[in-house]
Amino acid sequence: MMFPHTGENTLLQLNMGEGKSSVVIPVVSSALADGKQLVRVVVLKPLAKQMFAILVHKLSGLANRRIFYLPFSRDVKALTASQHLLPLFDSCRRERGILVVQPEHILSFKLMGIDRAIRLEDKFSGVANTLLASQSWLFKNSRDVLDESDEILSVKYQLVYTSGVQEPLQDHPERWIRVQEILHCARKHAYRIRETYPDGLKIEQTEREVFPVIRILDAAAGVYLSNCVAEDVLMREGFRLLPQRARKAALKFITCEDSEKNASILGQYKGTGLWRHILLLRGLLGCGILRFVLEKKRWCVDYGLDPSRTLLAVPYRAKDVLTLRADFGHPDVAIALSCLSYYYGGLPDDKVILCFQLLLKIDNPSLEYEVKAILYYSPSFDIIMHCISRLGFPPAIEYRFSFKRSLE
Amino acid sequence: MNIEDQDQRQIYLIPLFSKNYAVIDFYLSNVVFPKEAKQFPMRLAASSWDLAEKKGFVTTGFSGTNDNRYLLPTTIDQNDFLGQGGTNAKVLSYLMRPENNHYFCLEVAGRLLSSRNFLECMVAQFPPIHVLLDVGAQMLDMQSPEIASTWLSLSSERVEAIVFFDQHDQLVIMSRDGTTEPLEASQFSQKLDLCGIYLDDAHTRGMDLNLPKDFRAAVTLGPHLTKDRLVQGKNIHESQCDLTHVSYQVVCACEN
Repeated sequence: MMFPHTGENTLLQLNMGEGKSSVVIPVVSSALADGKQLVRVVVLKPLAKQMFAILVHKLSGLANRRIFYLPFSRDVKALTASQHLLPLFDSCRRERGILVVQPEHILSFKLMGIDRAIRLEDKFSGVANTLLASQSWLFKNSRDVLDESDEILSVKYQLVYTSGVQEPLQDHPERWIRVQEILHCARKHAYRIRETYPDGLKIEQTEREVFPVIRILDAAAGVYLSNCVAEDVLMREGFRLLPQRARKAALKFITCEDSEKNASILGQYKGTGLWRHILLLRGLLGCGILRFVLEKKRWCVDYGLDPSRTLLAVPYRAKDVLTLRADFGHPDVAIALSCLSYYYGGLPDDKVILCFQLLLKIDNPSLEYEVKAILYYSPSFDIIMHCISRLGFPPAIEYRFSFKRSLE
Repeated sequence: MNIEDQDQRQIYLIPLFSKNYAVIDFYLSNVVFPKEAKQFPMRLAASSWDLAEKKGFVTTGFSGTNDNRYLLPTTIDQNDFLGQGGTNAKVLSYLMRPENNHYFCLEVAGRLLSSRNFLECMVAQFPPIHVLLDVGAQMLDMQSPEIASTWLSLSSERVEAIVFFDQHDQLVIMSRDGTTEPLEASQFSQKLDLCGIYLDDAHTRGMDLNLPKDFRAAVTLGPHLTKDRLVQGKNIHESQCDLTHVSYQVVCACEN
């Protein structure tokens, strides 16, 4: 434990319930703290309080050791951190103290230094340099002891700092319009696919114009659904005018059946809006984002809304239990799950009103399109017509709808 | 029709349109995404590789389970003592003991039991159950303090207090008069045999509590529960010979 015979970083399995945390950690850490190295006991967040109490109880009185705890996160001011932390680390080392630390603290401190260093405005202020110097001091002097190492080193864990000025998503607003299009397409095909795979899909439809809750239960059904959607989308606007050959190549490319021939046919479109559209579809359909959101993620269990924080969908820890700070990192996953959250849960009352207020205010050609879309999908045409005629839309639109209705 | 009119709103607009997907698409495209769907030019990420990097001094660690030994960063190795080789089998043999072989399904007529019904079931068991380890995160509709008070209200006078973790990761105890105080400061800290213990899924790992030998625990299972988490949850009491009452949910796990 103290001097692994390989001389490399080492993990051990010790049987549970025989005193790993309460005996081994205090003994090992107090022996290692010899004034030359900074001993850090790395412990998971839920266990940190307990570990601190154990060390204080076992070591501070009997062995006269000081136990340090220096929580760190992005909220700590960089200037303060750069001035105060290194002297504290150093005194902990010299006094043969023991530092209790959570994985988040170590990683956050490391990222803060890098974040500051790549920012232009900080290049000359010295804050970044001091932070990086503290980091390299830690690199040279810290001796880490991990408790519950397999959870600390779990592959699932990462800490992300976003950096730079926030900008709109690439290809907005097409980005989310396409995702919505794909979801509606999936809804349309889902019923047919359920006939082929009766156990492969679960569809819960409540009312006609409400988006049904779709769950993919069988991987084969998911692949089939993605392929159907891909074929359907390629028959629509944007692709309809492509030559037959290019359309076939695009279909293969979107469903990830790659070949050099396809690549050369599609090569001429590179850099165009069409190419970006194809790439997006490939991500959603071929690479499985659609299947991922409908198969692996359950509404209200794995994701849902947290209006206090953001309007987008956020990960849930368990059913109806929010995570405190996590977000979906992948933009298309975030968009798709946000769409589904609102489809399944509906809009709150005030947001419905807000929509109508916006609709009435919009003064551009797209108004017609929006109103058309809303009416086209609406539950009972008569009532809607009744509402709409009183809402005061321009007469031309009203006329169109009466006309459309007479055709039906 | 007037959208400012409360009655008309409640009767026509909201019920007709609140779940209508065209309206929702409009809302998303005009309100939600333009404001929230943003990206940053750079993302800095750190992970376990940074915790296990090779540095001036070696890093050592230990754990009771080694199930992810093949997924560790390559800068750190699992090097188990020869004498500890039987650990995994030993733990499994605890699990397989006849007294641990009690299973019970949480579903009634295809629906999951609520936390309250589950606690009622648990309190009715004999011999009585003293510890509830919610490894499978099944107590979804209640927070820990609520579970503690419900448990107290359901159980007989013999259980005088419930120990659980509050939201600050602090071990606290709730007594029959409803007061909550830190466990160390409580008169019950040396009288755990009079208490019930509830550990939520975040706190079942690596917890050390000195429990009486004859304590019986219930462990919940859930979807995506891996063996190491289950075993970690059980480690609290395996040195004490106890009975384990596992309520499980495999039906549900398969369906999902």
